[in-house]
Amino acid sequence: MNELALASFAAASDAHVVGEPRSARFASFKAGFDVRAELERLARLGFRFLARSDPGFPPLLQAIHDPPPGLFLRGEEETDLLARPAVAIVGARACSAYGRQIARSLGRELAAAGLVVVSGLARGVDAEAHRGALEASGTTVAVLGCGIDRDYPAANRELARQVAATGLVVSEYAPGVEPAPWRFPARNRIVAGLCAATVVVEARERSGALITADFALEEGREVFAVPGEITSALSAGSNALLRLGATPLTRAEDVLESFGLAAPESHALELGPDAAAVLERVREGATGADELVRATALGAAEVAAVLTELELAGAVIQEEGLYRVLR
Amino acid sequence: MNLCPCAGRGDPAAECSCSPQRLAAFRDKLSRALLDRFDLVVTVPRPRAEELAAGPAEASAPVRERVVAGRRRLNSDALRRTKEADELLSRAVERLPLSGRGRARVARVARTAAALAGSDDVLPEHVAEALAYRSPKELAA
Repeated sequence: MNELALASFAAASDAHVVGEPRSARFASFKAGFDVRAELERLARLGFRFLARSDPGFPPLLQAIHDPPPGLFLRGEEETDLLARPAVAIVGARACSAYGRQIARSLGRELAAAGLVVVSGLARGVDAEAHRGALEASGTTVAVLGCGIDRDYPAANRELARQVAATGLVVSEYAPGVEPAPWRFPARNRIVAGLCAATVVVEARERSGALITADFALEEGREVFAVPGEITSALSAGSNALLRLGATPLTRAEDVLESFGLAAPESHALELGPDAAAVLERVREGATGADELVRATALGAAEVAAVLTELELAGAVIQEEGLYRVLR
Repeated sequence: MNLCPCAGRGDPAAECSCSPQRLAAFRDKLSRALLDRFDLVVTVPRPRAEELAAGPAEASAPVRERVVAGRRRLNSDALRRTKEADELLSRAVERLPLSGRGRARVARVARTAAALAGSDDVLPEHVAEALAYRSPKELAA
């Protein structure tokens, strides 16, 4: 298996290698490379390698102009999972409460409808997209920008474990490769490459998420951007994408329609009159509990009770003292 | 306490400039075990002009009456959780990061809420009210 030698050579020489280099250095590396020993070492570490030439290699990723030599895999799931219809959800690491919630509910709804949710395991939008998909018991794939054995950022180690338990963690990079700034844009081409559509939730100007969107556009994939406040620097990048012609995403169905999928039936909530009044007010925009008390003529205790019930039912979410509807 | 070191978080008029590392260090100052011991946590967003200009709220004297009556009820034997209230509490333990202590504290606060409301039993709405006062997840998680 030539590709494994190539991937190992890339790791050993700390370089980005896509095609087989015609250098003496690679020739001598290849001559001394024992494919079987390396495969055994990977298996001992609990990883697999899916070569570019393998018939199971995801066709969409195969089709990009510089597909990686292969993918290292963490997790037990079948590799044909990578060939299923997939959507990338990407965005800022330092995102707002709005971005986090949108990423989470998009992850949940798109995964519930049967799409594989692909992202980069970074803080912020990426992590929330994975979490949303896991909440829906859906399938999610995390693409790393470092060696397959690394959990980066370390704060998302537990999340990586959960992703690998029901989906796959994948990386172009062999075990032991350290995260480096230049590897993340390279990782983003794999995120976009695996997916027929990419959703940018929140992105500053010159954000990594825009690189992912660029890769998606170059390969002729669908790009969605979630509109943000025009005054928010956090949404400057995603709003710029919209200006350039990305499809505005205002509900999960926008993405599902591009895949020819229907949203699963959502069972309507049974609400009392108090809860309905509160929910209606929250629908108009993020609201604090005090304001709800004034707006609904309910007591503070009733409002607190109703909000908790709505929160437990998954209808609203509270962050930083403000309540928002969850879809 | 503020939600972050620069105090911009949660304030619609300001932008938070804290790095994730700085934010994590700030939150680590309060351990989860300590937060678990707070029964009543209320988030107070920055009031807006119209809210500051609003008239005075309920006066202290009627509140005092309510509290005195509530204490009397608490000392009696009444105020048990109904079946529905119990179910809500169990559901909350499953969905929220509630410890054994957290569950017990929620149950107590719910009983207090029921007493203040003049109810004979601890109803689901009282449990829900008590749950609303648990530490928000930005602090707990």
